Amino acid sequence: MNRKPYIRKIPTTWWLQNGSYRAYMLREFSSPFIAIYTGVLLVGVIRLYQGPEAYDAWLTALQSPLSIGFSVIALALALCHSLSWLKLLPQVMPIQFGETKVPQAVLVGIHYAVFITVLIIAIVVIKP
Amino acid sequence: MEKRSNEGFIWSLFAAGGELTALITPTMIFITGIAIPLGLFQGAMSYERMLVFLTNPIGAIILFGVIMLSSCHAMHRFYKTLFDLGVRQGLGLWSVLSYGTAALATVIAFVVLLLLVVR
Repeated sequence: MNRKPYIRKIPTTWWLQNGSYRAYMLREFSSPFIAIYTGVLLVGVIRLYQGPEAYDAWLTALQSPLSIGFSVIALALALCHSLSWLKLLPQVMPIQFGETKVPQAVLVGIHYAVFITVLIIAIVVIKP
Repeated sequence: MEKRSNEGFIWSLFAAGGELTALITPTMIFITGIAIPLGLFQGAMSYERMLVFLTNPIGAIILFGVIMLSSCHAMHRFYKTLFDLGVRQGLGLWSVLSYGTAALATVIAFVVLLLLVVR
């Protein structure tokens, strides 16, 4: 017998109910922004290939208030994602050597250190 | 034979992309989207400098990795978020659109970066 499966109705706004659901959704909302940002980078690569005029036009487009506003929102959401990712990572991927487990605080600390190192290296490398 | 799930493969790209997104995407957005347009590092992303960076195989591989992993990660998460928001109709189409966009971005990045490196 083939019965229609029962699908419980879920209101689209279920995640507004409590703080941790809202935090979850806030982080998930980073994905379209990160996807669009990646698209902007990809366009930059294509413009670079096309030549200096095309590339400079891309750089100028980045200066528009719309682009800067988008980047500010994308940065805020990306930071939300980073903070929660770094917080939950040691729980998802615990590391242990033999019997000894690496304390979660150490793993989180290493990740923060990498995050800061990336920022510093990027600024040092990019400085003309 | 039992049909094997493709979740594992997608999940590995998602996890790698999540790690990369968590560790370097905020820095990249800050530099390319805010600092450079506001003139903070004058000339840092000039045509000549970026050409030197991306015609170098190492630079090209780095940027390819960033574009591939962050688009796979973001589109996987986007697809799952649609489900969370209660989308149940046309999920097949949405998955083709989501993963297709990530795959397309990956292929375009590969081709253009390869053209930059070999020229």
